[in-house]
Amino acid sequence: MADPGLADAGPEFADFAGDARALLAAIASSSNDAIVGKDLTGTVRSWNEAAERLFGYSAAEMIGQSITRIIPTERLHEEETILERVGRGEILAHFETERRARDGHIIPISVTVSPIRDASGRVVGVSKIARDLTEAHRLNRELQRREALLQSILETVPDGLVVIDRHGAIQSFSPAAERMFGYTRDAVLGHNVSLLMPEADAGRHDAHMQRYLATGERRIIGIGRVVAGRRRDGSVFPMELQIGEVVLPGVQLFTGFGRDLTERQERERRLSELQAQLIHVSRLSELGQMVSALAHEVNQPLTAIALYIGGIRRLLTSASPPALHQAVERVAEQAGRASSIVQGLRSLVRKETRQMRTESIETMINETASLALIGGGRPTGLDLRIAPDATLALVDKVQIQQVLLNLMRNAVEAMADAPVRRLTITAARAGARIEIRVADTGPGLPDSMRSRLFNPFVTTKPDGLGIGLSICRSIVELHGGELTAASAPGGGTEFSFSVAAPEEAHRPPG
Amino acid sequence: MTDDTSPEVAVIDDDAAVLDSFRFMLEIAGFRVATFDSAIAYLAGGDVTPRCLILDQNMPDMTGLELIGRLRAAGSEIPIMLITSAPSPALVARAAQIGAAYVLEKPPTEEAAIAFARGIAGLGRQ
Repeated sequence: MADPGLADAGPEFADFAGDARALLAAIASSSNDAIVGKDLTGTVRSWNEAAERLFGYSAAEMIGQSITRIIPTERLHEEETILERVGRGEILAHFETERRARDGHIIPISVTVSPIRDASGRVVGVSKIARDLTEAHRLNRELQRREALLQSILETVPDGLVVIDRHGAIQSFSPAAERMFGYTRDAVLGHNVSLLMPEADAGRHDAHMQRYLATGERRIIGIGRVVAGRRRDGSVFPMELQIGEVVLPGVQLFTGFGRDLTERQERERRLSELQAQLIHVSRLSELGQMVSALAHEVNQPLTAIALYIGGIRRLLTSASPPALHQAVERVAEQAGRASSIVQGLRSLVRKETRQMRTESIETMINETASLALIGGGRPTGLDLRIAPDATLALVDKVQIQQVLLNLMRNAVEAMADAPVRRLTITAARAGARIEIRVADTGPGLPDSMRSRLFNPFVTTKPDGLGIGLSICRSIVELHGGELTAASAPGGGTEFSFSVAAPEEAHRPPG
Repeated sequence: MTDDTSPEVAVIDDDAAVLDSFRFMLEIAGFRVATFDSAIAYLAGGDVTPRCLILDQNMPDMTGLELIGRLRAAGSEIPIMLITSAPSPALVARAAQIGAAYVLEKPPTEEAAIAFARGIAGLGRQ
């Protein structure tokens, strides 16, 4: 009678399977798992080749012996339990335990134990199939190690990591992502990633994904882009996004690293604002300076005219023709008129409002330094020394920052080819004034330059940010000080000027 | 030590026309005048000892204020009138601080210049 299980197995197999016992013996023999048969006393009745390999004992050594030979002492009670339960007819599946090999080393194994029944259904023995877990454990430890490392990395990296599948569903959400978006991991897992985008972009994400899956065209993967993210509270923020792809058999995931750019953009915006302010005020100053320069130039000939006329008047006597007297007076009048025009122009631009307030010297310098030190090849070292009693000054902040910006930029340019680039700014108290010095380590100031240094229209640079030293001098004079240039100790140039200290002595605490 | 031929008024200005017109006006008013086109030239003309000084502020190489500072530091008490295109309060205060008798805005009136020379320095004939 053909075994019902072999009916459809094919002709070759059917022949071989004529002897069922031989077949089963062959199966046991070729199995990769250890198969051990025991009677209810725990004595080994069968021991396959895999068992020989796994435990190191040959069949001859084990058959007829107690299974306890391979059981570590601390696990002996397990064996009693197994025999008892399987004796009652239970099957124990994938029971993890340990056995001792012939050479003494402990093997982690997973056993499945089932009852052996005789024809009448009575349990007469126990069959154990054991699988060596050594490799599985090793892989598991390795996996855990990697997992721990990944976790540690993700917790340290400031960028948020979001992993999604091909449908856009969030599979992974790092602690940094939680902080960035304001959601806990559990709140977003499984949701579509468009949750993290502003309305306008949310709808497009699916389309982008579809297109990529269809065409393989990379628009953002591996390229990176600045996009908008939406936090849990609805606020939208700028984010630099890098996306990678993971392709494994049966798995397609996309990893996104996002960096919150809010702070950086805020900083950039503040700098732009400061720059715009400085440019605006400098334009006004330039105008004022041009008018002043014009006034100065025109005043020279007017002065000469006035003095010549004065002399001529004295030379005229009562004998001189009246017409001559008259003409001289007319000339004097016209000269006076020209002079008034010039005065009028001057007072017009002098109306630039100044707002004197108590300001922190360190803040003014640091803000200006951000602008002044941009674009240098090697970074310029900034050495800031502010005496404790010279931290505050009573100044028009934007105007004094103009002066500082101009001096700093000049210093940076002077040091362009210098081996050592150090910009030193000091603030020290001198009575009721604060003396500020800006020194560079450039080539220094040749004497021939000193006289031309403060002339208007000679030092104007085309960068649009700085203004002439002549304007700086005017600003400093308006603040009651004087802008001077000298050779710095140790080479280079040092500019110094003073401003007023605030009236109530504001001493910083401590 | 002054004698009859030593200058009474020294005028220092880098603008040639201004310098010449001062000389013209002051000489007609009866003063002996010496002119210099820079503070350095004045300091270099060691044997010139005028009784008073009319001085432009805005000059290259050495400003009027700087010259005044030098002279006062060297112990000179010569009366000085400073002339400037831009008399800011700071400038005026500084000038007063270092010992200028007057600060006059350009263009100056001849009367002021003459009053200075006559009144302060007690010079010249009527």
